[in-house]
Amino acid sequence: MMLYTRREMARLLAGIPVSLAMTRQAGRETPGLTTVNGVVFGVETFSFHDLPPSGDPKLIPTIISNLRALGIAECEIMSGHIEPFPSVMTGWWVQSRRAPDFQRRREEARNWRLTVPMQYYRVIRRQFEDAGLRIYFYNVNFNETFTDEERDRTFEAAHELGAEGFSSSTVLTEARRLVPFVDRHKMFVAMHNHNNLSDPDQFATPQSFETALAMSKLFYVTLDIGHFTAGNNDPVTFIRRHHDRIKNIHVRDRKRDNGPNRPFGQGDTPIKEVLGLIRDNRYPIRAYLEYEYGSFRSSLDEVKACFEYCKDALD
Amino acid sequence: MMRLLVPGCVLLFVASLAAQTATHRSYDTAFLGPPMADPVLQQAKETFVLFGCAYCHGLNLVSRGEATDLMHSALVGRDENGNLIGSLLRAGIPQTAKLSPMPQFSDLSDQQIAAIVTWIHYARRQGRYQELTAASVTLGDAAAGKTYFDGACSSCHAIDRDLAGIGSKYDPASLRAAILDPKGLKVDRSFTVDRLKDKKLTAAQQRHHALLENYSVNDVANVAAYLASSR
Repeated sequence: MMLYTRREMARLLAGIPVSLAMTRQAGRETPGLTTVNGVVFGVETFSFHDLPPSGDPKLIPTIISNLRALGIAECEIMSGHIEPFPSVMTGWWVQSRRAPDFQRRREEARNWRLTVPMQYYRVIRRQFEDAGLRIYFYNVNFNETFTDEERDRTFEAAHELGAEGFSSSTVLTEARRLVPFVDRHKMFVAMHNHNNLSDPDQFATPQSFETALAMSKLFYVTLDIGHFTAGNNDPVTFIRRHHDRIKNIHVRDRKRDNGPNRPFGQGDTPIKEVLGLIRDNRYPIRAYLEYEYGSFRSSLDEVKACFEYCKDALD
Repeated sequence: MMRLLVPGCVLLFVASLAAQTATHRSYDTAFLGPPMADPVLQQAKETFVLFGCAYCHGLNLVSRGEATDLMHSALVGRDENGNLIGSLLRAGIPQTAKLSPMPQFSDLSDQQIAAIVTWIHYARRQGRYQELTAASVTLGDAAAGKTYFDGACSSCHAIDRDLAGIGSKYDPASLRAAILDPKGLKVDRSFTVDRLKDKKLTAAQQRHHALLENYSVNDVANVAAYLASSR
């Protein structure tokens, strides 16, 4: 039987889940943890499809408002939600680098990164912390268009944002370049997978992760269990084997054989088994919601539905 | 005791109902827009959204991320009633240099594929029309326009038959508008059955829709210059 304190009951009536533990101290709230039966939950801000564009002053307040509405205390925030330009301007995709004005726009982005005062990041961190939230992962998709100076500045930015480390959709050749940076800044990079099985440089298989994990003790995994399943890999087996090197999972549901995203519970991804595995073994692996399937409802409503599915799975 | 409980229960019920209403909006009008007048197009649009196409390719074909730009894709331009898009949807594109391959949608029905294809072509026409009309009007090359006209238009039109003297009736801007959106194709269907006429009209609409999806700015300017020369 669940017992509520008077304060929790007040939050419940106000529509804020009791699992979001926040304490208000001197007008500021200390970030808490959102846990469901011991599993820590967060959100990949990619899930909010209808955010204002990069650089819009309403963007960060909207993310904060969404997290508060969800009752989820931490997030993995995309660089395009922090910086005043989308990550496509920093060479995330190979195709984007072929755009006619890419070099000029890339140089502008680099110049911004190298000259923006660190106070810029501290202000954003303060906005989250004032709301009792925190940025746990900074999602930066490192690639060959970064200069070393830019990589250094990006690590400094992550530190100022209060992030523990990075989650990154990157490739093995870039991971090799990052080894001295994680050592110098003592900050981890968790490699995020997709399901491109035709390019051996991509993170998509257990072998690709194992190659990166052998490069540095500060390399970890952000295991996207939906993409992993779509690539016909087994996330349960991988988590059992590498649980001490996985920082978080991205929870989504895809079908096998390069199948599409589906509402939670309608794909082939073993979401319940994975969450149960983390709960039962008390693995320190965070579960980050990532909503990507089609819907007629708002992103916020769908992420809520995803969260409810996970709560039921852990019940 | 009951006197106190009943109003309390009613209050809780109303509060719970209000919370549900606030968190379960059934239709995201900010994203999807108001329902369309044409139910076939509305259903096509919803299918495009529901199966996740809009997430990567954009509801109005302004793609997000690394997804193919369907507004300018040559394959979409060549597609006729899903003959190319349908098979691609069913198979996906597993071999790719992209981070995330295009998924396969092998479990879609023929009707669902047809609806997705309908929306792609409709949205592409809307987008291309906007692009072409937003382009600054330049004087085209009449000789290049004739070449284009001979290849794409001459099976139905000729400047010495149905389009004779058209250059003296319309200015270049009006000619451009007529090329992109011919008035003759906007007629309402009659309740009188005239299968031959209806068939011709449908064929003409399909042909002009396909042209609109593939015109370049120069094509339109050149054809307008060629038509303007018919006086």
